[in-house]
Amino acid sequence: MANVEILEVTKKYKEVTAVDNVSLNIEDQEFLVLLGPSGCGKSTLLKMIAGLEEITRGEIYINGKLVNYTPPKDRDVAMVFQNYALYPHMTVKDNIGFSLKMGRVHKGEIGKQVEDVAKILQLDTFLERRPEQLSGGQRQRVALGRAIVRKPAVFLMDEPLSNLDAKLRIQMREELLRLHDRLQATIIYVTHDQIEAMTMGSRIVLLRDGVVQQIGPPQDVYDHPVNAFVAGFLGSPSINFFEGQLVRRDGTWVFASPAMQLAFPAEVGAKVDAVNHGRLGESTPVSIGVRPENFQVVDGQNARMKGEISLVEFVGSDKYVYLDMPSAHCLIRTSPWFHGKKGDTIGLEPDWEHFQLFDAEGRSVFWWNPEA
Amino acid sequence: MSSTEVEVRATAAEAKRAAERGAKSRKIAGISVSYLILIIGCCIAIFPFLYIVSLSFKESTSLVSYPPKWIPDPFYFGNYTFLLGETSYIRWAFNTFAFAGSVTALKIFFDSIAGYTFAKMDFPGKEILFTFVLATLMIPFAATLIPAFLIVKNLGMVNTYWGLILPPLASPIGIFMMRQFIESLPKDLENAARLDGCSEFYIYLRIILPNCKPALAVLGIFVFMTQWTNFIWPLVVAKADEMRVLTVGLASLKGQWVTNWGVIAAGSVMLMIPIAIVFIFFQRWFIAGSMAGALKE
Repeated sequence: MANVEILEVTKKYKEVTAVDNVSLNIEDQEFLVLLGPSGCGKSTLLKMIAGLEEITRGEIYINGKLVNYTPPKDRDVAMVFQNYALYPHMTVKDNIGFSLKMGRVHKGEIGKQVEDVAKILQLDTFLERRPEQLSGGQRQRVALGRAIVRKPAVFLMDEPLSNLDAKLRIQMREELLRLHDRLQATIIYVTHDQIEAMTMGSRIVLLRDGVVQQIGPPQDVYDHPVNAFVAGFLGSPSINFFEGQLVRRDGTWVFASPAMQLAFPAEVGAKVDAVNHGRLGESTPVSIGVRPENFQVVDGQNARMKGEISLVEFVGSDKYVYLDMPSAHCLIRTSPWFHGKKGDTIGLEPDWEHFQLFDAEGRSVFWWNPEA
Repeated sequence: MSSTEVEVRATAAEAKRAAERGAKSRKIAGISVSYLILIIGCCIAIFPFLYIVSLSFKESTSLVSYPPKWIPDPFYFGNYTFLLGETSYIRWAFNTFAFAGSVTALKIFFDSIAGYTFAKMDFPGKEILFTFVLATLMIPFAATLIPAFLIVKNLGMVNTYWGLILPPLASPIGIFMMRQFIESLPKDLENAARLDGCSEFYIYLRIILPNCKPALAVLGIFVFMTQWTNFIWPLVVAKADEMRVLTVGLASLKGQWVTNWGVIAAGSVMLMIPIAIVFIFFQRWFIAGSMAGALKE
């Protein structure tokens, strides 16, 4: 297996910059997830590692070897494509064994290796079938088999689960993780699905418009987003943002907006002071972010945050409660036994442990490091 | 349940059945009309063919009789034996096979490889070159006939197979067709092959070509049919009797004063058979090819 180093890589298509000065170091046996919305450059970056896209600027090293000018077949990488890209005119056996055939491996040896891989992926009874005769999950496994049989240094996976239904996706997610453990492989995985990213990745790289927003283990990125985009992209349902101003009253920081007048507890105020460095002054426009699960429902009479219930969704393990507030909307996650109904007014208190504060540019006051 | 309610339900069920019967009979009427139109169209299309088949089995003395006889009486095979024994028909048929078959095979190869290049490869001036190739569609065949003949003559290819075969290869419609089809194949298919270690030519040969069968079948049938019935170019370039193709050979049987229409009819019937066989053989792919754009996932 191998490590991959990406140094200041940029990709331009005429005037459009798809990937902008990205640097990453992917450790041996790491499961790294490139995450971001459509068009953020994650697939382009993956294709540059594979050698399927030319690099405009920068360098890519696989196992310490510069591969900028190495053709795809000599980079020792295997790729699993979003639409599987199985050869429709070949059987499963030929699909899996094709790369070995191209590598002039002996026919008997090809057969043996294909059978071994087919056993791992439970495809041994489908070897003589064509892709059109397989279900989505089976096709996905063939695509994986085609990658595994090459025993590559790095696996590149481009949204491999996005064409599967929800149930199969969860099953395949688990299978991929088991496979990662078994093969001890370096995997670079592209997805726009934040649940996939958080459940599978040992680290997440969040991209937006070709620029890396944040790199880190899933929980770190979720708990400590560096900006409002990261906070908004990770989490389902999405984080709630409230726009307002930060004012100082009686020595305490207060978040003031039409929806609420929220005085920060002493420890949060101290945290703001500690990281402020003059960024936040009197009446600075800011936004606060609170995830749906980080609210406590309190008595509506004396609460500092109040909202009228506009919709309640029961999703089995939870209830999602939509609230209308003065010039704001909010979604909270409650237990399935919550009894509030449409039209009720309830009070809320944010969980200050997981409270996020963003400046006017959307940068996290607590976690964004201007030196980074 | 009250009796009124029962009655209301029974009436509703009866009305539903009547509506279903009405819809069914309208459907049958619709199908009948379409079949009738198709049968009439089919008769119109098949009439000249049957007329020629009938003529080919008649003696020259009974070709025009009144009232017209559809079924020859007696069946006369003289036209066929004359054609096969007294003319160079077999040689002409061989020439036609060689000519139409070679043009078809070469066009399938060149058009598909050019289509692949235009569809999937990037090189400077690609769009301009493709526009230029397409623009040649605007030039009528009559305008290029004489220059093409002069080139072939200067190359010493008059009355040769090369003279027959090479000029018809330069037609852009096949390139356009193949490019459109290949463009619809997913890019990841080639990328997968590239990662698997295929060269560009191998991607074309092993991955693209097998997945273009419907388009290749359509192109093959079009080219074969066009060249099988091509008359002007072979007439101009292959004048010697041993180099003639069937269309030109059959035309040469038409005398200035006397024409044996029975013999020409027999020749025409035999001219049609290979095309019918080719069409029947490739029909499945042909239909798949014409539907490819509509049904492709």
